[in-house]
Amino acid sequence: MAFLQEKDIQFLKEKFAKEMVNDVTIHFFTKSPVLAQDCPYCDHTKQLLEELAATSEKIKLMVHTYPTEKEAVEKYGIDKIPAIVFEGTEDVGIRFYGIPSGYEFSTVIETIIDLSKGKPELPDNVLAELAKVTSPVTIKVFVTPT
Amino acid sequence: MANANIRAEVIEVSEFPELGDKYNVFGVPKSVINETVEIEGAAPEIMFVQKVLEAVQ
Repeated sequence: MAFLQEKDIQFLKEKFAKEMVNDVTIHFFTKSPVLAQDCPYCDHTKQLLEELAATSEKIKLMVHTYPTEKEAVEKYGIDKIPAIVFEGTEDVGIRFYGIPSGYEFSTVIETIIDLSKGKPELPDNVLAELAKVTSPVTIKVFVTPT
Repeated sequence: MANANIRAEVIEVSEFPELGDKYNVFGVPKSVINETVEIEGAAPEIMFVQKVLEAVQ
């Protein structure tokens, strides 16, 4: 069964065609077919991302196995699955762990568009404050599917 | 994206309950900045940035 309905697909196709500028690569880390790994949402997440990637030629999906594809696992610093890396012209450290369903799916769409444009959707006063950050910051945001 | 020093991870906590326990997640969204500064619920952008600055001071 598909996650996206025909009307969702049409909506996304039009939105991405109108708003995307540069390509965005989604690196998806999933369980290895030869290892017995407990990852109940890996297959669902993969299917959802495949359906999403099919809505725009500018969205490239690359599927990696964890932990077997060591080079990619190390490069992107992946320590659990399912893991999704959203990458525009460079990796700016955006990760999603788990399945981005419900409201989180809209977050993903906005993330892809922002990365594609190469600039965040934030007001100038917020950007000015963010410019003051001169040492590494990691923000973890915990969510549940809604 | 606005600053190369800042990384962001979203974690679907029902799939990683051990992280929910570790970071005392009793409601969502909950944000944890540099393992120290916590924000419960959704915060206005400018308030969120203040918390980020607080975490690096």
